[in-house]
Amino acid sequence: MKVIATYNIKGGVGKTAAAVNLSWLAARSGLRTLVWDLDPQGAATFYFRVQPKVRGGGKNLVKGSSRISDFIKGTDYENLDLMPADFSYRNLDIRLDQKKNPTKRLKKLLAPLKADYDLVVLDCPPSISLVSESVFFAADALVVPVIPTTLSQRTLEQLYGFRSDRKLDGLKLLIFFSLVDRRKKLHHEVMAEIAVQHPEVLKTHIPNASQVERMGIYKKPICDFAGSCDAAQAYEELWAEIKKILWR
Amino acid sequence: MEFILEGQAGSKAIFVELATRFTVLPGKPRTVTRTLFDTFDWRLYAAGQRLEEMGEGESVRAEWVENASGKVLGSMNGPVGRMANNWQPASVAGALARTIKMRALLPLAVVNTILWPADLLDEREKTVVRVSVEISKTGAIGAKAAKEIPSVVRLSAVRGYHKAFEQTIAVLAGLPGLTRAEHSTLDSVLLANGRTPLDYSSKINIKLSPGVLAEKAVRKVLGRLVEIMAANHDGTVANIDSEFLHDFRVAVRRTRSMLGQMNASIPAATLKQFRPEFDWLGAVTGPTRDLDVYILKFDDYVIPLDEKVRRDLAPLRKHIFRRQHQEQLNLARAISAKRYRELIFDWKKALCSSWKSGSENWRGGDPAEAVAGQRILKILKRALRQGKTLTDDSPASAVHELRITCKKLRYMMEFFKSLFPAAEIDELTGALKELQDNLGDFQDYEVHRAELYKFADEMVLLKTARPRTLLGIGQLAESLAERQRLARADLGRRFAEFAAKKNIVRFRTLFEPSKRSLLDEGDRNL
Ligand SMILES: Nc1ncnc2c1ncn2[C@@H]1O[C@H](COP(=O)(O)OP(=O)(O)O)[C@@H](O)[C@H]1O
Ligand SMILES: [Mg+2]
Repeated sequence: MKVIATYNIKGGVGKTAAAVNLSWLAARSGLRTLVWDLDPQGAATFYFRVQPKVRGGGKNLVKGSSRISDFIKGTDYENLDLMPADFSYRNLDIRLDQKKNPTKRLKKLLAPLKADYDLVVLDCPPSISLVSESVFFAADALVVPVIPTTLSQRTLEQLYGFRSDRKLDGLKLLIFFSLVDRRKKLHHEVMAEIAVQHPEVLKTHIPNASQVERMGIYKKPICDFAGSCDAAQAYEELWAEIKKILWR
Repeated sequence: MEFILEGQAGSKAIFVELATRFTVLPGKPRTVTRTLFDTFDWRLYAAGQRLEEMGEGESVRAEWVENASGKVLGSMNGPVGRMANNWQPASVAGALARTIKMRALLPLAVVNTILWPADLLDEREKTVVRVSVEISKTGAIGAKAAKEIPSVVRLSAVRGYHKAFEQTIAVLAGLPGLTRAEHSTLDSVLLANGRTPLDYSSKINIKLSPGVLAEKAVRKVLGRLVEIMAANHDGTVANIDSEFLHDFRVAVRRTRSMLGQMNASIPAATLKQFRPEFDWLGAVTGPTRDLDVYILKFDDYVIPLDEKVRRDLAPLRKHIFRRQHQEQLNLARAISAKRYRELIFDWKKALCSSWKSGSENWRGGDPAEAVAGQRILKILKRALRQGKTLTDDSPASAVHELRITCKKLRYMMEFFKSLFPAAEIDELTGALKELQDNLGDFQDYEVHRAELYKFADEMVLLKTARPRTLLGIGQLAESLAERQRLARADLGRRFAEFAAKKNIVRFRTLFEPSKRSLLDEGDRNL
């Protein structure tokens, strides 16, 4: 079982859009896939039409009093399940804190799912928090959408800094450009510069495309309702790149 | 979860009924061709699982499913691979290998299905159950799928929506013409194609009646053994997987053991005619099996070596595979020839009618229980003697002799198992197995180490080994020698455990007629 997490301390950069589409593509390729919505806002849960409320809430989960698999819901797609967001996740930070080893907790929660899933996609909330700390320990790779701006260079340095501070050398950083506007000169310049300094950044760009926003109307991944549009094709390429690295 | 659909109730009627509870979202009808797979010895069926390849239009998918729950244990795009390790991802390959091990997946039957799918949605437009109405025909592999099997309504639960699933079952259960299927359609498919699940086992599995004469018991067991040979013959020739030859060869070895151990219950002329023939069969099957074992164990053997050394050994691995291929061709030729066919034909005929003999040593007319019991105790005595004289300095050949004796003992206990109390014979077999595992490991290391030198010579001749490969072979030989030393160091303890007084007493009570009757007397007097 591989674990990836869509991660960026900023909101609105396309983390959830990536989580939803990548997990859908993974499931379609035959991998038994679980999306875990860690964001109390529950956007991923919403896209998959699952009710955000989890029976028992986040409390029991972290305490370990009930089995984690009891909370999982099947989506409308085969091979694709979802751990719904819950408003009590607002408290997940605090709850994790009460444990002796909060950073390892999420990894422990995932352990019993090993036999059931080939891939887990954690959709992270924005901001640095204990949740994200525990995500670093649980994940094999962070999938990081970055909007190409003058600040993106700094975002990257911060990420690499994080990883070395925490001695997480095994954690892969899969950085890709998101919400790319083909008409903006600045975007092209920033991407060209970063491609030179960080050749490990993924090749695929996800374009800024209005169809992606329509996911909220259809409540479906764009790869499902508009599979042939540019953005959907870009997600397919992104998935192909990530898949290759994960199972290398 | 399946319902059998009888009579005329079509998909429409069923969907209309379900629409009283859910929003029914019908999909396009689909035509699916499924090919069912299992191993020759039904390992998936026995584990309550099935594996199918589903073709639809251009696309082919493979799916591994638990029958009772319908849970998908693994699935992938593309056709079913022959072996477990052809599966993606590796975790599923590993799980499948735990069920089917080294056996190949063989196609059993084809099912053509027209399928009317529908999603059942709740009031929030969330899919909560999947339904399909399926009309199918089946046929053997390569034949036209023309045999009718019952139509079914299949329900698939969506995780976390159990209530909706139960509601759907309740709705369907109330409909006339629908009955809940006891077993999955797998059984009806197999039945329609004349396949009987679990119709092969490599076990002896025969019931001898108490008091049966020795010659009759011997013929019965030998008959079962030749049946196992015949069942595995074609798979051995075609080299489908290494287990065909394994089972074939075990049956040959058991036959030879029986001819040796029970020779007083087999006419001299029969022995004279068939012993050399089965020795020949043992000899022609040996080299391939040895190489098969080498291949099965190779990955484990190289684990202790450095990554770099393992890379250097790649040409050795290739060489062993090539040698296996050559030997396999020789073997296939030998057992496809007239000599083999005549042997099996004559042998089956020889086993048909009772055996008699005028020899004064003839025991064929005595009860099998007594003859076999005496023989078993005699072999046991030999094993104990051989084991007790072993010292740390004894040569490997002495260990090998003990191993052969133990094997004979084990075979005899298995042949005549049904004549003795099951629990006790199982317990003694278990104790013997512990010792045999150790002896087997020791011998494998001995043979495989010696073989490494042979491979090295061959590779030098063929110019397929660079010096570093030869150095790697040296390291591997040393590593096997170390494992062999460990096995040898453990032998004393294992033998002592087996030869413990309580085991010997058990053997005596079980197989010595006088002791048994004494015991019976005792019981009666109580
Ligand atoms: N490639 C894109 N093109 C246009 N809009 C996008 C794209 N990706 C995401 N969006 C929109 O931007 C908003 C934030 O995206 P989201 O994936 O939820 O970001 P995050 O999870 O990082 O907060 C959403 O309204 C979404 O529809
Ligand atoms: Mg989000």
